[in-house]
Amino acid sequence: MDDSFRIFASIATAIVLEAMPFLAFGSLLSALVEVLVSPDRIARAVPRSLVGRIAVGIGAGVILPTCECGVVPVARRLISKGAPAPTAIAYLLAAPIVNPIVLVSTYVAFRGDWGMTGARALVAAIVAGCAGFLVRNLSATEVIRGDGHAAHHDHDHASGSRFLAVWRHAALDFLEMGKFLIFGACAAAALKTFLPPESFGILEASRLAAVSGMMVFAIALSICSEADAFVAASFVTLPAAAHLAFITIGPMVDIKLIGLFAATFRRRVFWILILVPTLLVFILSLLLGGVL
Amino acid sequence: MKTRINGLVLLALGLAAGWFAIAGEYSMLMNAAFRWVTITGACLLAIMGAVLTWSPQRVSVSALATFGLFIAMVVVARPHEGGVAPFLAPPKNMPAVNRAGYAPLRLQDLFKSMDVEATDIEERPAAISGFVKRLPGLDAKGEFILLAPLMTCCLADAVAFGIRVKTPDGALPEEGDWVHAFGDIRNLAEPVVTPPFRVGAILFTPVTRVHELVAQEVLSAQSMLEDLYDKLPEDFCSEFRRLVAASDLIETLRTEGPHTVLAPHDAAFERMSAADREVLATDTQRRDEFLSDLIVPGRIRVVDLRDMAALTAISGKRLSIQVANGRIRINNARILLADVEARNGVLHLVNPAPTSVPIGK
Repeated sequence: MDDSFRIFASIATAIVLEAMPFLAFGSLLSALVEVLVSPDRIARAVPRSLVGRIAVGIGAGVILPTCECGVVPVARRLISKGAPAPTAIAYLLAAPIVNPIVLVSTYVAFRGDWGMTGARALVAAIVAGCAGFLVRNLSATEVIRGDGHAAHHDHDHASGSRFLAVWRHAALDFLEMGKFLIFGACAAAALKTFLPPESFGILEASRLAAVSGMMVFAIALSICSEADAFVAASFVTLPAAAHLAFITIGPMVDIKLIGLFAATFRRRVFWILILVPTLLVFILSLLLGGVL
Repeated sequence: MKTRINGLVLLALGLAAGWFAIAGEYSMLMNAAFRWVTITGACLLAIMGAVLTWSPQRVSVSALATFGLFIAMVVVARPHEGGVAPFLAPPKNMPAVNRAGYAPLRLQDLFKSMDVEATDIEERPAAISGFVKRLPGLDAKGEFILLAPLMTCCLADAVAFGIRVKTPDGALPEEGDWVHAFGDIRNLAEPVVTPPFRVGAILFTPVTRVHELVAQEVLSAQSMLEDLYDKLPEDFCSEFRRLVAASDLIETLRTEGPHTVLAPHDAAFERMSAADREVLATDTQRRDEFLSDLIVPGRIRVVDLRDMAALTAISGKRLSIQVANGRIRINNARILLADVEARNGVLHLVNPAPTSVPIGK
């Protein structure tokens, strides 16, 4: 058997094995919230002030842990049930990063580095706040498409007990999100297997090259936010700014999300969701990376 | 359409991950400290799988196809058996060696971060352990790179920190060997850049540009091992040992190599006919032919056997390899004990003998 294929398979398997428990935890917690907390209750809790609305959106990301794969239909449902656009958009962008599971996996991946963990949450909150501000005056019909993407996490909770519903939902979440993890692990493994060691010289040429290169990698690799910190940490020769850029842009904008965004949101909001994270992550990573 | 396939896939994944964490070559892919995390995740997956199997749901074709391809890749490539980075840890039988006056030094301590060397290292006698990377440009100078691996979480983040080693007499250890090197750490006046290289699955191999080790002694794991004859287990390989000891082939197993020995278990001789045992005891030519059929040139481990159709013994005899249900057989002989490393080769304990006693002419 070709050595390259065996190396590729070993690295891909290692990444999947490493991220699998975190994805399983995330799926289970997400399922608990999905089954036990109604979106209506969340909508009633939203305050009137813009700052309050954005803060609630970001805060919901902390207590309503959802991967980027599951957050789009949840945000759409929140908006369609009357939650203000700033709240839902802030939640959409922040939730994949500020939730405890992702922050713990970031902390573990970066060997107990609170600076990197905090910077990741801070950048996500700033990006979510700015995007929320830009959609402050938009109504529900101006934000989401009427015939938009159906919530792909809808499951039948009527049958069986709530206990079974939680596990069933977690299992389906895992299956749905696991495929993106496998794609990402394979893409990262292919890069690690076939990229000549000399090519990292390009990323190492300057901080600008490292940050922009890693952002392109993050968008292309589409790695789950619960696992991407491990992948970023493996690019050990790159500066902290590049790591920060990789782990903040990926959960907010990647190839699989771009398709979901396009199917769910109006064009104006779509471009806000793509451009605001890209520009802010680039700038903030360069600024914060210098002090990490 | 509702199906139980989703659940069965998750259940299988959970059980496989749990088995691997408990009984597989876990440390070849993952940092062993993560074992409990993997086991916990595997339990969660198994419960999810059981629930989905109990109450079937609509099948997600794309998810199933992705998981199916992943499982197929694992079945074909067998990454759980290791092999792409056997140098992540020293051989289990490599003894620790201390030399008075040489203080142990971890290679990662020569780096302040992953790509910035520490320039304030005191020049002193040091003992460094790691594996060997040979580069064409260094061979001519009697130098090699000594690398110490560091795996934080999993194979994907593995890094090997390196230093150039000048050997005392120009004698270079084998590529991939684990060695203990004893010598003087020196700071270089001018940085020396080593061309970038990778080692198996390890892409990141930073080599310090401002230090070198001028070695007085380099002990390789292989050189510290016993020879093939001495490694033959006396408890259950006594008959094969006795036959080899009576033959000139004992010198082959003591001094030549590297060779791979397919040593039959004592039970293999017990199941031979009385006539065959008589031949081995009395006919030295047929005995030596029989023994020569069991010695193969080269150091061939089980992981290598999976990719081979047959072995050719030093006698010229062809021994076919069969792989069924993940188990390897050589001419239908089972491998009872695999990969016993020796200084001059590797031996596998087999039963029955993978060759028959030659027929008299």
